[in-house]
Amino acid sequence: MSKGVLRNAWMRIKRVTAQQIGVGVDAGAHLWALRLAFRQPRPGQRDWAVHAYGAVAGHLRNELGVTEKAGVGTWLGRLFFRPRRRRAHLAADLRHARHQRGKQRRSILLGRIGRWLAPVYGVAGRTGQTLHAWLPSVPWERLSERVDRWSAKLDRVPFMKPVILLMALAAALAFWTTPLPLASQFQLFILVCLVMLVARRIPGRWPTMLMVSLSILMTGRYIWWRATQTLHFATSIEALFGYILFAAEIYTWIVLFFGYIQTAWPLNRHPKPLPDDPAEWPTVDIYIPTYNEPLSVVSPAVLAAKSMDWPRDKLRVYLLDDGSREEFNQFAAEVGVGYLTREEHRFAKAGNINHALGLTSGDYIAIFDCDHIPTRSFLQTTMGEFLADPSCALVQTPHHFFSPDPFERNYDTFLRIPNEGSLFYGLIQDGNDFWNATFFCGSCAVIKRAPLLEVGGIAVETVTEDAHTSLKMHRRGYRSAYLRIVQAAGLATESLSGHIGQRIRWARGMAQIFRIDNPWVGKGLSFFQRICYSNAMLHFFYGFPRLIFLLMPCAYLFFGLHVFSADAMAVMAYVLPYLFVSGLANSRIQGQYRHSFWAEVYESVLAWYTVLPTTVAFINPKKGKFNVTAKGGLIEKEYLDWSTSKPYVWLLGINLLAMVAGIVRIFTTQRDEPATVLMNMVWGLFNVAMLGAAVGVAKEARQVRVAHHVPLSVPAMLILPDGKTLACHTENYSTGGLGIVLPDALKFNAGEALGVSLSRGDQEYYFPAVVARCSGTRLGLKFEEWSYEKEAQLIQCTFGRADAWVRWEEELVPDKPLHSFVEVVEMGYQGVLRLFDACLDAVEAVALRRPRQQG
Amino acid sequence: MKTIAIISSVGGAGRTTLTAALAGLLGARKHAVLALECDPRNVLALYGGLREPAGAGLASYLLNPGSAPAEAALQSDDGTLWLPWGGARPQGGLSAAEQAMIAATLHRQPGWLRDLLAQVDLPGNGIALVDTATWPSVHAEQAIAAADLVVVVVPPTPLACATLLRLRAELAGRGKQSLYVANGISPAMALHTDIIALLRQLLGAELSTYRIHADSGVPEALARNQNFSLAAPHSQAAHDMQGLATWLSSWVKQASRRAAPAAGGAP
Repeated sequence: MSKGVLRNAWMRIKRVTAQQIGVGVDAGAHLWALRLAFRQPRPGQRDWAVHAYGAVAGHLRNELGVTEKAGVGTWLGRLFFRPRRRRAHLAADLRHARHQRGKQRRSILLGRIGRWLAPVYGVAGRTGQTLHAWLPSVPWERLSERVDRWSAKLDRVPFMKPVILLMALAAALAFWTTPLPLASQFQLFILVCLVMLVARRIPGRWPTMLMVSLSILMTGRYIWWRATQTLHFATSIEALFGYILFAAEIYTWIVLFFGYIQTAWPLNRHPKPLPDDPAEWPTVDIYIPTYNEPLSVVSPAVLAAKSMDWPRDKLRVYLLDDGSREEFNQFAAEVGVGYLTREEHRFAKAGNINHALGLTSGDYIAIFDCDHIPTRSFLQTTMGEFLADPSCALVQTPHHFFSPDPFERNYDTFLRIPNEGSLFYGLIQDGNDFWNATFFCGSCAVIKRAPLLEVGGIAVETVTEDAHTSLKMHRRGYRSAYLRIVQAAGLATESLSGHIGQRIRWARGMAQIFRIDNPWVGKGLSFFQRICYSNAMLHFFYGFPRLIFLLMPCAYLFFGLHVFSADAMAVMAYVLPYLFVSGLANSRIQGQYRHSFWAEVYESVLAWYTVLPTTVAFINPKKGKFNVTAKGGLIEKEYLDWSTSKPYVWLLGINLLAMVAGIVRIFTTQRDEPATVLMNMVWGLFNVAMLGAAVGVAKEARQVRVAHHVPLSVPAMLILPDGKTLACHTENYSTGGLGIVLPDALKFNAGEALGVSLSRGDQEYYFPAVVARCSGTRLGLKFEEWSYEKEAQLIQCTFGRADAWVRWEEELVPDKPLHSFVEVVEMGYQGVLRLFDACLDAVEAVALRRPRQQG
Repeated sequence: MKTIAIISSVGGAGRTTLTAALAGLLGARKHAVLALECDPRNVLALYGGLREPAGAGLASYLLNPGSAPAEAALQSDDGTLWLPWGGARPQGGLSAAEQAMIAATLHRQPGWLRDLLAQVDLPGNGIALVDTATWPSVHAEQAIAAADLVVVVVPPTPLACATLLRLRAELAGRGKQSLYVANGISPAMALHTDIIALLRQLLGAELSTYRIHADSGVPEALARNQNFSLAAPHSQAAHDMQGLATWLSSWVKQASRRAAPAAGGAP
């Protein structure tokens, strides 16, 4: 009752006051406050007070990020705390950066430096050109041919080769062991460097040989010096670490020398012609083993295999399904290929193939992984080798990937920097071929049935059944051949964890072979075959040495251990020439197949993961299990693969701390030997770059499409709904659609039905399609009414073309060691930034988002 | 000068269209071109830009041998010369008696057209394109007799395939070099694809790799009084015709070069 009276009284007072000062009764508090201080203006005059208040309030709202309806609490809060803003990422978006730098295949940093130095480059380039035009040109090719002829003539003289080799050995021994004063050693270094720098500009194989020989000489000198001068340690702890480092170095020397032998003379084999009469061609079974891959991944390979150019009655395609899936059975029946499955699934792929061996009868067996799509010319290219050489049991062709692997995707180096596999398929296998030591790689190869049965089918004792099988065949005296002509292409592993899983399997398998069927023991192999096989296996033991190199500078920077007893000058005089000369020689040999310093990046990523499997397999080859490589997945959201990158984050952290320790050391305890501290810090910095790159790779970039678009430019024809035609070119293709470049900017609506026709030779194939997108002269088509027949036709016009991959080598970029170095350092830097971003993201997620979700 | 006859063994194959298109395209390749119609339908000049059927032409010359055929020739703005069949009159066409007389003359003198063309003097690598009536007919016989190269237009129809063997035997018997061009092909039609496969099997290298694709823009261009290749330069059919014209152009140049030494180095 009294409440009602009070409210009535208050309302009356309020109304009267409002009338007095000229405010609406419902006006806000701020207007009341204003009117208490400023009188209401006369009609026709501007209300300055209200205007000023509006301006000040707007400015404050803007500054503090407060909305108009915010309460007093928010205002007070914002006075003291900034609103949360989206944090910008430090790491560059490399994909975006690529679009910025256009088609230029250069790193961002190099691009920037290049722009600064453009005038210098210009002047230097012009001077060089003038000089070049003025100097007489040397006919290097003719010279090289003449050297070839002489050496062939010398080779015919009896006992010439051993005598020359012995003399060379004697000279080398003298060179290695001759002690020189430091100054002379530096002079020698400079002299050798000059020769190297000149030799690397001369084309041909003989200059390569010269560079390799010089590298062997300088490395030998370094080894001798290292073994005799640097192994004096003050304490037993230092000796322990010192010998660990020395052991790691011994490993690298062995691999270096074996590698020189392995790649001394890449054979560069050409295909042999087949007999004119196809009736004389042998029968071939094609095996496509599959286990858990989806049908969409497998069907292109099967359809392409089925349409290979080979007499129909002599070609049988078999789908070996270890998953026993009804869908696959139906598919095989529908497209007319054999379907083989088995009850038990022992020995994975090897067991699958061995099971099929008993059920088919072809003289030769071509094996393709289920995602490797062969070209139509695969058999005609490879089979001539068997007919020319009856003792040939294996012909291997490269594995080519038309999608980027995790390194290429996450660092955007696809088609810019050769990937991990290109060294192996571009050079090492070709080098192996010279020593008749090419080994089977599990896919894209043809094996002769009789030798395969003779060694008991595909080897099942190890998880790298492929290499082991060829080792067994080589032991029986069969020959092998490698054709460096891409005749099949497939999908690369999608994620880093999948990639690492695959490498772990290889490493484990190679270690198993090294243990149970060591190439150095047993009969049947030539000396050089033993070297090639053991180098392939030793390669996978790089884990330990790499980790040692990654951690060794810390031994000094943290604990002051001198693991390398030599002063800084001596190190410069011996280590630098060795590293520099072998780096140049390797750059020359590997050239476009592996850019300098990238091996370090690739190995750094895998080192941690291969250490344990190789060790376990080496101790007990029976342990460990087979893991299938996942393919055809899609990374929908970008993320940092913490679980994969954890070891590298630790290693990186240790190395970064070591840098801090080094700075502390240089100003406090080790003021007497700054050069040593600095040298260890430089080494540590290099490690930081490698580890940064390793961590950065774990940041999985988002993948945009399910089907991979493979670039291809061939003529195509569009048939428009009104019956008109349009001649155009394809830009790329995938199993689901086609990218077209139109001759003119035309407007098509999404969803519009079109016909597109592609041709293979004289044959034209028509595909009904709808417009997926259209902008300017670019048109994206999606195929309609898809059937296996249409898919087979599309494959014949695209993946199956004999010339589909012929240009892969042209796309490789030659190595420039300095550029490579800058690029790797940049990757390392970006990797560290990515890690920093990911850390902040994680902290943010933990500190800010989770409580809110809970509340 | 080389004479190219464009014939077919079925009607509606696209002879006249192709003749007119090739005339323009060969002209663009710096050949002096005379497109000549040896077909009583008298439609060729319509492709050249004439609004109504031509009155003067080969027919009037045949009826009145005293006149000069050159008087009946027309020239389009791209420089191509057109010699239509003619015979159109305000009150209709030729009378039955006149037609019979012309047919009789052509029948009596199989080399009449060849002799007529021998009087034509086109500069350099000049080309006379002869459009004719459906083979077999006296008109087609005249064109074949006059031709250095016979271009046989083959539409993707079963009838064309059925009559092709006879025509081929005839041409081989007369020792004529011939080129078969498939016209009006649509890859969307399974029948067309099959017929192409059959033709390739049957004719081998004589089948031109340039097949002219079906395109609704071709009749549309005629209706609009346009040159198809210029009006729709990006169409596949125009590309195909360009390809065929380039092939013919280089054939003419090679044939002239071969003939030059044989003729005793005459210019």
